[in-house]
Amino acid sequence: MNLKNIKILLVGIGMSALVMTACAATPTAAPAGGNKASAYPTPAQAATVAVAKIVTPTSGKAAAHGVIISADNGKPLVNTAIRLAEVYRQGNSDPIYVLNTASSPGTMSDGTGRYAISDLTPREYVMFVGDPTFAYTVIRAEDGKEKIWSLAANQVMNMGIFTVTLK
Amino acid sequence: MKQKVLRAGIAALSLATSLVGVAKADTGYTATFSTAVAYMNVGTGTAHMTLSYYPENTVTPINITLADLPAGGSSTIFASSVGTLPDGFKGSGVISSDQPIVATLVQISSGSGTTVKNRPLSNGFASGATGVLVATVLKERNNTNTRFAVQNAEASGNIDVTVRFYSASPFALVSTQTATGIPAGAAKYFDVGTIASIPSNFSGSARVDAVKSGTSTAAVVAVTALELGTANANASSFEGTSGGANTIYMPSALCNAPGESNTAYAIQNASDSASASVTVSYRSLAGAEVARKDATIAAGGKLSSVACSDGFPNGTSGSAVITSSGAPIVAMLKVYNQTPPNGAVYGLYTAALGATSGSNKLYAPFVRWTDTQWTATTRQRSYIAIQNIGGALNAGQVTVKFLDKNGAQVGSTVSNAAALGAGQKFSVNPSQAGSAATEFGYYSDGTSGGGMLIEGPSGSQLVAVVRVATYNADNGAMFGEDYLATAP
Repeated sequence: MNLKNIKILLVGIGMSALVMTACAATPTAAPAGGNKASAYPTPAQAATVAVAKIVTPTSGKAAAHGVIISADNGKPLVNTAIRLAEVYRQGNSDPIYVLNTASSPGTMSDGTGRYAISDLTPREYVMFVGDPTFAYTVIRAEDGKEKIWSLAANQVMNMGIFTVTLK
Repeated sequence: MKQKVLRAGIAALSLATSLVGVAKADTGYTATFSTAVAYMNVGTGTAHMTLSYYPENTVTPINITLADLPAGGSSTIFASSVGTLPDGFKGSGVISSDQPIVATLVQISSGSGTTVKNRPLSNGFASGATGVLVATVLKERNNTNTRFAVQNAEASGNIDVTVRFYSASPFALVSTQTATGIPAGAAKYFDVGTIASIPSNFSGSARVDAVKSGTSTAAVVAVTALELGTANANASSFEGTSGGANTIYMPSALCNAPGESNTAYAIQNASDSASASVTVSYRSLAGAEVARKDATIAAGGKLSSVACSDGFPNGTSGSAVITSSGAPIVAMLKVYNQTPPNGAVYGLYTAALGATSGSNKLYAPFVRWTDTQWTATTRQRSYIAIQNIGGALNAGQVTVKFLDKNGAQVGSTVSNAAALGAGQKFSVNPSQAGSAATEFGYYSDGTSGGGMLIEGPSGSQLVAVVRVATYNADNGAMFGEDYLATAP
């Protein structure tokens, strides 16, 4: 790629991105404890999810599925964007995740809060629920950090059940 | 020192949450923000782009190849570090492209229990400048603090930055802050609320100068500022600017229209030695001057010009042209609700720089519309005010095309229904493009992206301000923030 000297300076990427810290340190008030508390579905829940959304990736690709629930009312979060941000690693720096709203893989949850994404490029992802320019949440692991899923070729990943609040 | 301050903020927030068992309401100032970047390919071919991502004061960026973007296409990226606990993360970035692009920053407050609903918007910079002015700087003034980022806009090498803070009345140097060794592309943050040498109730400006580290050679920087409420949830963003101009165009003038929406212009004398004789000429939608304010602003001083107070007719909307016969000026457009519709939650509160020049072609990288999810507050709407600052134009000569994420036009072309005199404006939104645009910028697969092209005849001079609004479920009003459409 022969990039010309056309640049746009972006002062403020991650400006006070302390936000990410605050999110993780103070789980949202939620009936099920926010996405942190319900990050891992029970076997029964996982079985239900698996039955509800079975996806098969094309050869060499991966697939993912799961369920999202509203922390506000405990009901399935319907018609909501599920997006997977690509993770980048370079040297010893903390990994970076980048969600491209026009091209990063994703889908919309259905009327039961379920979703399935197929034909994913095998790699590491972080999951967004909602619109990253407006109201969203990033799924986090129990340690409060963004949860990274590593999807391998031909793998079907059950992402689990998450109770979330979109902020 | 800054890291310690930030950690303290986190601890206080966490403690409050656990003690009371409910989410703590933020003010704009205590809220925490992350940034998304909306960008648009305004060239004629597919753009191949790289994002260079710089944690604060980092020497080596992380370079990320972005997905190719067709001509006219637009997208938004959200980038952050994984596992930045407990220190948080601040930084900056540079998008490099083989096609011309424009970009707008979207600041998103998403701390636990946040009540900050505005999404402050400001534009990215194609290049830096020397002697950048931050037109308005506040500390605990009108319940507002200013925070801004200074980015090294040089192609390579470190820079040393000096920021001088000046009070407006009387004009005086109040504080000087420095930062050294800022790598190319990286940024340094200045939080006026934490600078002890700046007194409370401060209202003034700041001038940012930089040199290449270890030399006296001037260096270029880019500056983005946030104005943040200290007793309310207000938040807005605007760009630093180099120098000033003697004519500034304001595409929006409001006096309780619609509802309780009002405009105020913060006009700053950009000279530190000469006074400015300023006239604010308010124009009706028909382009006629309907109110006027004349004032002299002392060197370095500021003037607040409120449409309703200046005689702009109640219940009307229009535009304004601000001229100075003396020193150059800079001016900011602020739009707000006269009375907060809810004691705890403000509504509309926006800021954008006034325009100093026009173009016959303007692009906006972040445009949305929803019919189905407006009151559900899960999608947004964009309202665009277009002002003709050149010679008179006939009806239909200014066209607006709404372009999807791949650059394809959505719906029909919208144009000015009536002739546009000099200084006159008209307003558009995506819904005017027809049923195809009822969910403009949103797609069934969960992706999003949409922009806009405004085009007038060759030689015409247009400016436009884009408001991205969110329904306020508390009171039926809206939140919103403005940014200027950009010439290619």
